[in-house]
Amino acid sequence: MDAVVVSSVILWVVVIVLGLVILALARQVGILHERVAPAGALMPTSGPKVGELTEAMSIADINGHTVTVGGPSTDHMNTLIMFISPTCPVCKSLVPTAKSLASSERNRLNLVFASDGDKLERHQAYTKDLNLDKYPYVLSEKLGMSFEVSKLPFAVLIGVDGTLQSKGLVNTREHLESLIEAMDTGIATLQDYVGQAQQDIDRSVKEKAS
Amino acid sequence: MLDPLIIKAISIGLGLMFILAGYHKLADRPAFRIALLEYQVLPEILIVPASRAIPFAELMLGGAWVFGWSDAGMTAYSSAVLLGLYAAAIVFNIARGRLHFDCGCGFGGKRNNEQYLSGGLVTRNIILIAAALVTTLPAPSRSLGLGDYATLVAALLAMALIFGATNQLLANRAAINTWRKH
Repeated sequence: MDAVVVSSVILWVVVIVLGLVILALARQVGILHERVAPAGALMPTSGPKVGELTEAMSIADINGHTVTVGGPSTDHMNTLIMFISPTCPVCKSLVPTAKSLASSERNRLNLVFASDGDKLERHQAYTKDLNLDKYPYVLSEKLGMSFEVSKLPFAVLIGVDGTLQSKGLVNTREHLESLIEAMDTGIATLQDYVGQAQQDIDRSVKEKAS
Repeated sequence: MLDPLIIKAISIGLGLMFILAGYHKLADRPAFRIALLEYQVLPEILIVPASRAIPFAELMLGGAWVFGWSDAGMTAYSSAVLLGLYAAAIVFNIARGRLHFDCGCGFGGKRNNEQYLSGGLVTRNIILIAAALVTTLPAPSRSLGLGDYATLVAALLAMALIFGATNQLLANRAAINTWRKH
């Protein structure tokens, strides 16, 4: 058979198979969007409440610089404290996400990493491994206790005025974004949002009835 | 100069698309009536007649394309007009910010595979209009052999797959936009 004919046949087969693959991929992405609805960070009921003023704490980071965490901000920035630990596997995968979020929100967000434990070398190796030199990394048991951090990775968002804006157990980028969303909208949790909507409905029903 | 094979591929491709679209609208008439209502471009009294006339027009056009009935490019021009009307209705609703209803233009998928309005659909229609108008360009006649028909079938298959994938991607993007505002 003519070489051109053979080549055409092969190319058409390849094009059609590729078309099928693209269609299948697009379908799968579509199904994923249907199944994985966005979910917010899990907020514990213990610890300081959203809206409460946080206490300013001066802590030395692992390089010896003093970092002030909490309280009204001096540079008009919000502060995101990420509680992580070298022993927590999810933290390792979430750190790059937190960094990318901090850089896309860099004009209004300071990112601080917090951990505890006394093996300084271990934390230094950890920060080197995850490339955290640009961000303060503090070791403070007191900081974790003050926010009642019980599970990692945990994030706390403190507003410019020093009030707690949102907090929660974070596992994905969606969770981290939900903290910022909570600050922007002023709605702390999904339950609050549903509650508000319910109140609005109740009010309009009453107005109509009266 | 366009090869007649290209024109034939476009004609049959558009024809199959119109037949499928018309069939899909007839197969789920209530859904199509809802879509027409949501567009808010027709007075309510015309919804029911339009919901019958549009699929009928699409099936006629589809048949004309597939069997090559074309009186001085009438099939091409009327298809372009119909697709243009759809695009205009979509643009009109996008401009009003009414995005979240099924466009009534996705087909071939499962039933609740809704496709919301987006600029991508307008682009899709413009490309389809351009394809329809290309067939009115002069083409030299040449007899088509067996190899040409094999190419035709393969090209149609590839076009159908790409069309399906494009629709799915548009639907996905609309779905993402429903939960991300920025």
